[in-house]
Amino acid sequence: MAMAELDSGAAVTSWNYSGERMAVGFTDGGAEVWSKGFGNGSPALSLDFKWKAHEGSSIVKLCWGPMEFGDIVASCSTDGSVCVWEEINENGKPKWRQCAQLAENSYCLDLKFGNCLGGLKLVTACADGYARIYETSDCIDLSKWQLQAVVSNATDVTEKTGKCSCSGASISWKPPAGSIQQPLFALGYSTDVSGFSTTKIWEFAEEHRRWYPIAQLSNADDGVGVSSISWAPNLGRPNELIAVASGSTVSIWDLEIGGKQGVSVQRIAELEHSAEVWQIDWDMSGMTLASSSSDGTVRLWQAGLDGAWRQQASLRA
Amino acid sequence: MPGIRRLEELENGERNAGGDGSSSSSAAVIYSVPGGLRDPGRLWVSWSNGNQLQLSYIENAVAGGGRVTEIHLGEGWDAERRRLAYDSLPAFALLQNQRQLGYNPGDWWEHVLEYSKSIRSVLDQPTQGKEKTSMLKAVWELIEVFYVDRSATWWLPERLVDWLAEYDKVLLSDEDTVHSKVASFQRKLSEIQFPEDDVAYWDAMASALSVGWLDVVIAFLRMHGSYRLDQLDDRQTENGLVEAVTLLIMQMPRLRPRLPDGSPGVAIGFKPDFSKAREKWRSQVSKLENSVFWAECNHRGTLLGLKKLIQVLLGNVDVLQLSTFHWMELLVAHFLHLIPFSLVLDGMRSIASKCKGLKSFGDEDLQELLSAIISNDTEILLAKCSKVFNAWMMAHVDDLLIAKGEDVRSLLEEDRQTLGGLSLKELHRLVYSQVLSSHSLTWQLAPVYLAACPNRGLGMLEALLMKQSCSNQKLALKALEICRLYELDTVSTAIARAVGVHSLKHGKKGQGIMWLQLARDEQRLSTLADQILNTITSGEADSLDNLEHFEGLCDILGSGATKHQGLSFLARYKSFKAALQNIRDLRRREASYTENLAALGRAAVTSLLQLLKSGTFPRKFWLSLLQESVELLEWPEQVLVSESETNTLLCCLQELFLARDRLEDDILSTAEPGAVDRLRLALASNLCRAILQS
Repeated sequence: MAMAELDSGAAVTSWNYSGERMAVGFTDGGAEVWSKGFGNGSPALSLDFKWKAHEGSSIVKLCWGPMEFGDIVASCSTDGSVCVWEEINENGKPKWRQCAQLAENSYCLDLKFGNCLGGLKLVTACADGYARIYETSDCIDLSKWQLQAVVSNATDVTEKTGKCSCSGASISWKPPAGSIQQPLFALGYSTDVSGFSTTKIWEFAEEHRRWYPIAQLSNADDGVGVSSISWAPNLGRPNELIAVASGSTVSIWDLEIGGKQGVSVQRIAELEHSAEVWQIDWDMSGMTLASSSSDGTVRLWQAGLDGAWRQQASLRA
Repeated sequence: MPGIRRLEELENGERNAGGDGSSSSSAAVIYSVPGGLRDPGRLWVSWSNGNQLQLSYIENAVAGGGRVTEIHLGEGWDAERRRLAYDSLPAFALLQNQRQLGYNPGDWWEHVLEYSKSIRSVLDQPTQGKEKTSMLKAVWELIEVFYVDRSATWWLPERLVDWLAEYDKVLLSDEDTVHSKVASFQRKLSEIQFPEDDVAYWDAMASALSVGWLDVVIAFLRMHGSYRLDQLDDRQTENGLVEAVTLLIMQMPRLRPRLPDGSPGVAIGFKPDFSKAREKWRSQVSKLENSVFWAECNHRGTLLGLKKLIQVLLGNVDVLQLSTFHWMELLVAHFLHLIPFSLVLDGMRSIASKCKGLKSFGDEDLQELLSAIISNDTEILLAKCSKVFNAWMMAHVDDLLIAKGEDVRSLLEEDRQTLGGLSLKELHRLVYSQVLSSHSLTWQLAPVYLAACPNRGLGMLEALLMKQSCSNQKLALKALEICRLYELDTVSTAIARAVGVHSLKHGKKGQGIMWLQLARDEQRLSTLADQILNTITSGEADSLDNLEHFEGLCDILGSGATKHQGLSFLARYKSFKAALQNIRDLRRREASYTENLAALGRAAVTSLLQLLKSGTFPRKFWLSLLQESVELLEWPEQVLVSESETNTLLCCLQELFLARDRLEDDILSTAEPGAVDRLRLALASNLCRAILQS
């Protein structure tokens, strides 16, 4: 059921946590926010607000913030700027205004919010292979952000010093259990330098106030960069599941944190598409994975009773 | 454990079978999305609630646009399915409650029987989609008979007969069954005068007899042409034979506790009695078969037909096979006529598979399912059930199966490593809860099922509640109610916080504060309190409107947790500001009051002078007039009477004194002592003040 038609120039869409609102970014820097409603018994999207987010540059990615901070969206564009927008009421009508602008040195490929105990954080993965983590301590006024850390996704010293240019990146926070979110995220790049393209798991160590890479999801035959990462919601499993899309394969990794050996990783499945995988997403129970690829299909994967992952369904346009 | 491996094999086996690309396979369900674009460059995929997938197609071309669609995976939620979900919830919740309260293991099956009957009554009232629900009811009842009802184990075959009588009509929609044959002939019967000429009459009766529908057979037999009044004389023998067969059928012994009132047959509950009665009855049937009267029967159709019926009663396998259409009917016929004694289950299983081999029906999955129920093959039952029916069935049927015994319980309740520590029972409930969450009208049913999931139920419930939109107050209140029921404090705090911030940002400060107080979010409330303080102290709140607004906010803030210093400070600051404002108001009122008085005073002075100056006023009243004017002369706030006016008054007084001195009128003596002095003082001081002022 088609819910909405997007104007020409649409580049990227992003849904909020409850799945009720969608933000669209355009190649001319414009942004739109749509809300889901029910018209004639079937769901339909209606345009709430439209504004120019970035002047003269295309929006690369959009992401929604946690609902506890209101309706907030962060956007990054090809001119290197990263902005945070919030929705307020003006004269009884909703309107989006800019809260903050975090300028970048190199352009940002992906960004995601994380609602940690210490405050709201925003991780941006930049094209130079470095991730910049911003945080704000104010819970209502989101105009003041500080750069908390700059980390390089390459752990090998030699690779760190070399220049790197990445074409894509993906960040995925560990989903909150209830309302508490641990400061853990996975980061991977799409580049030819393998050190950067290997997915790393970063954790914030409270006692040192620093981010450390605690694990690496890699195999010897990983040559192609990472296009999308998704961390599965964990409703009570002892281990974490992380899906990483690279080339036309989606790998599912099993991550155990806090076990006897510290952190251990294991690849438990490799799922093949017929063309390059574009995006992956887990459902709310963490049992089904949806992956979309450039061959125009979306495939759904589930583990069977024997624990092996198989394709359950596919959607074709 | 062998059970698990069989289940996995079954699953894999199906996949392999379907791997050749047949569309009916369960291996890869293909959905086609209507309205996709011709050249989708990018496909963004995002899960919404439950099983809903949101897709955004964006074209590759520069000038291309995009389309956003939502796909609902799995079966849709029509009104009938929603009704089923709502109505089956109380029975499920009751059973879980009983389990938690503790029970005697030997009696547990009785609770489950209650539950099963409640669900059956829910399934009894379909409004649409009759077919699927009837099939569901048929399978449900069969499982109840074979797995739950321990009081019926000794007469299981007869129960199967009853079951088939009830549900033969729904088992196969496009193939022949005894029911379909009987029903079609019944329609013809009323029109035919001599049904015994029609072979279909005898065939229908043989089929009905073989599956034990004795009342139908007897009704048909009574329609025999030989009973007609005009035929009775000619066809006496024939009629006699028909009547004899009818009588035999009416006396057929049945191994069961009771029969419905008025039904043919004799119910015998005690096995030895039954075998004796059956022996006797069978000998009677054989005697009839060998009777000499058959030679005198003229009507060939009747002869062959009745003989066929007798063969059925004697348990002739070939005739039974010819008279039944599918294996369930053949099985029932076996139990009625061939081996009417209650058997151990192994015996049942082998006979069932023999019958299946002889007469299988088209719908293989259903067939396997029914045979699995009869043969007590729980793994196959589960595999086929999940294939034929939907998530509702899987979530509700587990409890029925577990009532059977320990081995089924361990199959369903054991935690499996391959499922990440989940048991099959829990998996079924989680899947059903996810299906429930896909629709806005059914998501609030999910918590009951999630509460029955020990491992991941709570986690999923939290995730479900957190996903509810915070812009809808009613929804948030409902979510909070659920949190309260299941003691999910952190989640209720988070939801209240989200709604509070949302209200704040959208201009509803009071509502936002109320929700934040509910969330006991000290941090945000104190930030808010500081913001309000800033607004007030910077002087913006001096206007009356702002002050009222501020007072209102303070009331709301103060009524909640006043533990925080910022809030209690605000309350006291509010009283201080209120007091200040009162003073200012009073002053303003008094000022205006004073002005009014002064105006009145001036008016009085003017009229006084007019009186005096006009000369019409008699002199003897001047003193009293002057005394009254003292009040005006002694006006505290200002000088009301000007210089010239005071002069005039002084002159009047002077005249009075002169009058007294000239001994004309002694008006002054009528005054009280001191009053004249007072007057003179007042006049003098007023003159002073007036001069000073000017």
